[in-house]
Amino acid sequence: MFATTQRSDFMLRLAAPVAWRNPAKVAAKLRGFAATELGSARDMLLAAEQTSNPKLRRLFLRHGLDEHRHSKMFDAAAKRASVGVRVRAYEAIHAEPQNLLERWGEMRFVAFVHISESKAVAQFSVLSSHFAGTDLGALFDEILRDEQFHCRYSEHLLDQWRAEGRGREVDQAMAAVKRSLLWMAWRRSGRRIGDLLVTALMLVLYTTVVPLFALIARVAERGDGSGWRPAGPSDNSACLEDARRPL
Amino acid sequence: MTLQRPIVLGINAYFHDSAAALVAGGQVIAAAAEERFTRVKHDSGLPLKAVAFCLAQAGVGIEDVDHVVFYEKPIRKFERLMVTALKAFPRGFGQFSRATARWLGKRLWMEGELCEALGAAPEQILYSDHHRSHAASAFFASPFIDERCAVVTADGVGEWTSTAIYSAHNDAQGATLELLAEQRFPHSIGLLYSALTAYLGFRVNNGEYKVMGLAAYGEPRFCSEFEELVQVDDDDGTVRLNLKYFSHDRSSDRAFTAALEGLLGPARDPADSLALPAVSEEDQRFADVAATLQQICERAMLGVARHARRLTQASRLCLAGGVALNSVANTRIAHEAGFEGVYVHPAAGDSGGALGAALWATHCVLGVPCSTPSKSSGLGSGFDQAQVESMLSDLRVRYRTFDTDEELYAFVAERLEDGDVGGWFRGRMEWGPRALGQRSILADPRRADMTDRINRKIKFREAFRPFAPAILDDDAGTHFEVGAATEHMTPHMLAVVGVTDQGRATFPAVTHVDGTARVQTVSHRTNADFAALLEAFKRRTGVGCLLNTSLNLKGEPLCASPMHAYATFKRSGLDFLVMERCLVSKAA
Ligand SMILES: [Fe+2]
Ligand SMILES: [Fe+2]
Ligand SMILES: [Fe+2]
Repeated sequence: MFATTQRSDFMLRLAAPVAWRNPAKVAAKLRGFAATELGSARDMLLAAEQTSNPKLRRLFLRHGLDEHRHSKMFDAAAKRASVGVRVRAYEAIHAEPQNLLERWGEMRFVAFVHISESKAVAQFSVLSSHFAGTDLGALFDEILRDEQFHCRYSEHLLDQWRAEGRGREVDQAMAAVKRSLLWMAWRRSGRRIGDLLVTALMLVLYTTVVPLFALIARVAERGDGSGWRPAGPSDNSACLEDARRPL
Repeated sequence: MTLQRPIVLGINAYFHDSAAALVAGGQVIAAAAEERFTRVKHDSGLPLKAVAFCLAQAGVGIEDVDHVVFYEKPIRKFERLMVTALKAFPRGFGQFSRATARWLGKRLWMEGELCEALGAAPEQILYSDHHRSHAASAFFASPFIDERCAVVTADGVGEWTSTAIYSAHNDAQGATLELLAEQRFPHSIGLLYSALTAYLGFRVNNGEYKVMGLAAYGEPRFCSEFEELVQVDDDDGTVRLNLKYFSHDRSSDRAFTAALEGLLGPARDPADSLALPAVSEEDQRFADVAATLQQICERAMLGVARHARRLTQASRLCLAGGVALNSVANTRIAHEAGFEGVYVHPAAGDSGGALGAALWATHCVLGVPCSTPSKSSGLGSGFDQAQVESMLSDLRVRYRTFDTDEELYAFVAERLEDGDVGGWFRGRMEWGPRALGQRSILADPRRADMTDRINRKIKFREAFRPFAPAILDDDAGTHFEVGAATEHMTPHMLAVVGVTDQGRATFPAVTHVDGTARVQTVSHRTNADFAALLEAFKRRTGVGCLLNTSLNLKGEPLCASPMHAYATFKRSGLDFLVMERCLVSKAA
């Protein structure tokens, strides 16, 4: 998994009992993990496809398959945890692919993998001890071992590049990734604030300006709009000028 | 390759099933859905990867393209969203704020968006119309381009239109696609189907197939409840929804209201499993609701088709739009609507709009003559033997290479006869949602336990969904009720037909509970590689038929690349995987 939030072990330990306090929360958390793992799986398989380095290709494929397995395990655990918790709307697992290898190149991508996997290791260690002795504890334990492998192989690759005399490049790549992660976190919170502002603005619009237009729309409405209607005069234009118009 | 002009790139984005298609001088060069590349099922973003693929396949850059055609009119669609939200006032806030934020953000300025993301110039951009794009995809790819045709399009909703009838005509002077009549949002057979898909616990724009499969287990015993929900005029297919049961006017993520549960009983929890044939009354109720819905959908589509026949006086019909993926309804139209031939575009859903938009611009706007039907299958990405070998070598996977295709066919036929299930990745990827023998999972349809095995160990999907047979077209008539009426639909698996007694006895794994099958007929002329494999299987077993399902796992798009195919193989219980002339086995 690529964990993208930055929190210390201490904070994670402190937050765990609250974040995982009831079956609904547990199920939601696990579904979130399943989505994140699926997103990483897609990115790793895409990276395996795009790289021309055979060794990276093998490692990325294995990594991608691990993440797919994790996603499935989390999804199954979420289903078990949500027995009795009614799911009203269908929630599909959703994660956007990030296309990072294409955007960043191999070294920076591996640096990203290393940093994110280290965070995943920290997070899952906390959760594995928080849930020690339960099925969920065993699940986190099993996944933790894979994440440790992802952490090790990516570190090994970075070390190899360092040994080849590319230490400066590696350091730069690590720094760039840390900056990007901060930037991504900032943008995420920015977007959240932005969304809130937009919603507030819309609410103002909706309660002030919209009612008038709503009234006009109602008055203009004739019948229920069902039934066949013939084509209008401009509906069948195939001239280039009309095709240029987005309306 | 030197391409003929004009070079036209069609794009569908920002709804669902984004896609791109490239047409040069009237010839379709490439077309693919974005989901295949990003691995996000029904991906709705700008299809950047699909565009890159189309351009690469044609060997051109965006600057070489004469026109980029967007598949609908964005401002008209925005207008509909706004008017709908206004009419729903004060309950439409969610819809209003989401639409305003999303559309004012970028979608409304499509020209800028396309220019920025694709590097196109503003003067390159054209706009088709949602249903016109569907209609063009159906007509120009049909075998009827020399005749006057009726074209029917039906889906959830485009800009405003939900169902449309066109008259299509094509000769040396050019082509016309004339809209004759339309039904408008919110009265839509597609939205009805979607809302009930959600009610039945499946995902909208994704689970409609499952509803169709589920319907076979039920009886249409909810007709009087459905009378309250929707009125259908059998004579002309007019649909009138009772809006108190639907919420698409005020919510973009909930399709039905509490009143629907009052009418039909509680909705199905998506997390619950469905046991079919039903052991519980609840599961039977869901199957019966699905059966009633299916019957309504068939009545409406039949009515529309009959109306189209009256309006156009044409003897041929072309179909597209999401509802045209309802292969049970398609078969009834073929038999009962009075047409002599019916064609359905293989990418009848919204992805097909990308190709339709490009074809409409090429033939109707730019006046390029259409002398042969457009290619409509095998338009996706392909990989040669060297690319597959190099990937497998990189991965240090043990594989076997066959010297000739014939040896490969013979070997695979033997493994399938022995009961193995194999992945088949050859040639260029399919256009449209169905696997047609380029990205398929194949098995022996004579084994009754095969359905269960593939569902449990390979695809991990719902046990009640049927598998389809692919059969050599010369042999199809003995086992399946195919004939002239469905001959233009079965090559793309777009008709569900009856299975004969002999077929039922021979192919238990592909006969659905109601004695039907969504058969694919395979001809040497149009699908030579797959036909040759079926021929090899026939030499061993006497039947040129295989179970054919898509090469993917549950909830994932069809595999587009050797890497996806190999990863799918590793993650499933597939016994072997063929990629071009390479074979990878689990046992090895
Ligand atoms: Fe990981
Ligand atoms: Fe993971
Ligand atoms: Fe559509």
